Amino acid sequence: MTARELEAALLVNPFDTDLRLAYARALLDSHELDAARLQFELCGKQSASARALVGQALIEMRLGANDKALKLYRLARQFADFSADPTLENLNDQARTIGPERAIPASEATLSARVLIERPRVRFNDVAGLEGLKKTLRLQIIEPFLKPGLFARFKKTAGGGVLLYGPPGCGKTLMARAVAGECNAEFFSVGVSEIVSMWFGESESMLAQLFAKARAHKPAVLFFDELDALAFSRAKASSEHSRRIVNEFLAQLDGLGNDNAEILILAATNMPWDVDPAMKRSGRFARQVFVPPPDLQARADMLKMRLLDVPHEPLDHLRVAQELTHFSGADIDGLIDLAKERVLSDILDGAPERPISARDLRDALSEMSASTLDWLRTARNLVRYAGGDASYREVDVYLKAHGLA
Amino acid sequence: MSAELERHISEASAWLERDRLDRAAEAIARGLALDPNSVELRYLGALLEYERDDFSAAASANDAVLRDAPAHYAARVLAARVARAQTDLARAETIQLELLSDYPADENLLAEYALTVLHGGQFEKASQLSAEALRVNPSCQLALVVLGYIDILREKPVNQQHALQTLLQQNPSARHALNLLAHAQLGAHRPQDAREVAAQLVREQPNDPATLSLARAARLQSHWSMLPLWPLMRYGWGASIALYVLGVVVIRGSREMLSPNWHFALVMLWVSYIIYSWIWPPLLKRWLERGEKS
Repeated sequence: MTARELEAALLVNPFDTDLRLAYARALLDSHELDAARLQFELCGKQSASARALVGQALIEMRLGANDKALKLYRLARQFADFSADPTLENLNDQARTIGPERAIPASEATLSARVLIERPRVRFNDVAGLEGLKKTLRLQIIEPFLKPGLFARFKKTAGGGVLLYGPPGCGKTLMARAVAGECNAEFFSVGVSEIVSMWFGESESMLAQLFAKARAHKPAVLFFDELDALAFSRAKASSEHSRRIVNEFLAQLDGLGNDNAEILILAATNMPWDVDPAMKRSGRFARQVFVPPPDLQARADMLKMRLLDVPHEPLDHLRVAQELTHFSGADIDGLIDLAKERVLSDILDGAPERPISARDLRDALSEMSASTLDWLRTARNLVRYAGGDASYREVDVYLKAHGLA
Repeated sequence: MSAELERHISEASAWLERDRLDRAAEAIARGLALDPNSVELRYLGALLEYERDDFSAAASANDAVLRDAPAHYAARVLAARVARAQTDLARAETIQLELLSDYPADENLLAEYALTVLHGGQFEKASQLSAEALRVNPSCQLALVVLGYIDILREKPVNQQHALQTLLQQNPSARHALNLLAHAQLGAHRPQDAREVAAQLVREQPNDPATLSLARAARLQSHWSMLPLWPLMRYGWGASIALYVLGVVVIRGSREMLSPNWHFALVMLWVSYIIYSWIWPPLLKRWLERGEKS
């Protein structure tokens, strides 16, 4: 429709915002900038939207008021219906290179700043307990990675994605580092929280760069902590930005136009239910491994390790660990800290210097409870009311074994 | 506005969207340390309190934002939502009418107003406002949800709930559509179907109290031991009265026709059924909820 036809249609239906936006666009295309601005402003008055603001930004840009244009464009980003405009994106990019104050770095330097690249020395032996989990990870991930020939004969390939999930503080990140250590591969650890806060378009480009870099450093392990934040379920997301990050992530996982062989992609999450379901399909994070709170032996080993250089009375570590059911590694650290504080407080109050005793640990225990319980209750809801979902079978087994089902 | 401040705003918004409220609070605090007067960050602070269900804190933070930026669209919308959450429907309505006079063709505002009116029990007006929102934008989700709830409250048969059907056609996996569907199925006494839909909802949000309550209700009603109580669940008080009257008539009428032993057995059966209908549902509910508060 031409501008005149749109004008006639608007006379019949003056509150049709889409029609008015089309009319404003037509005026903009025919360089009637003042009239177009008025129409975009009216659209904004009728119904607050990103499209009206983007239109106004385009007019300001054409009038040479780039600062004003960028301000309007950035305001438009706050709306759910925002979609990027290439001309204004270019202007934004130029502004980055001109003004250091506005700079939004999206370069190789940014990638290095946000991604930790190392060759971890942590091995499975450094992770206390969780023997069953280590065995699973060795069979499913590490051996195919180290002996691709053997597994290829059985039509099993190396690489792919593995999602570690479980309550917070139970060693998912440590386990991921240990996997990289066992594989003797480059380990790319990504700070997810910084990626999600990037500008529209920047997060996607960062992800693409990251995968490209990992492909250049084969064999490599890519590790995404807090996957739920990066691959947030598109059904729950309200912004286009979040959806586009997931789309880009899926494209990179599928290796579109690229080869992801010899790249192991690990991720960890406390909230697997927030991860986009498409992420869990075959070829992506098809293997989901539950990392439970440490078992009895692991808790006893942790107590022993944590108290190694601290003055303490001889302890029956297994007996103390029995009272720490569902405690995470972080909880055990907290417990020992509390016990230390009690002893130090006594000493500072004038009592003679003494080591930490089993009683100090028991007293500290009375002041705290396992932080994993909230997570386990949520997991119980899943098992109880969302039955039939095989993804949480290992959680079900754990809950039943501990009388929580 | 500096790029750093914009980044904090962007980060706080991202965490709020993901319901990571503590992380959002950290980002807001970092941003406010740079610019304590930032309207956007203060608005996000108010939104954070709203998401935490601390409505009085949200109201006070949002009022401060509106004092400095009275035309702030999102803050005005939030003010109405907070007022509605505090059941101050008159204030919510006033704010929404002011918003509508500034943005007369904003379908989301019309639907928000319809929701406020629905809270006040005005089904007809809510229905008309939703219809107006749908005239502006036929796929306005909130307007369809409002109409869907009105249909449920009016006990329309599921196959006549057009808003629900439209929602499911447009976005069959959306939470609001599934939530409405589960409620409609429960209302239509199809607890097994409601249970399946509720399970899908729990998989997405296993820590949401409203979803769990829905799943629990569906599980309770679809339990095999509730089958004998189906007439009472289906027809409510009417069925209870009918059962009592019918029982008295049958027992009196059969006194002459049956032997005393058979008559006694019949009376016992009737009394047992009444006791069962009275005692069993709460017992089953407690059993199903076992350990949930631990």
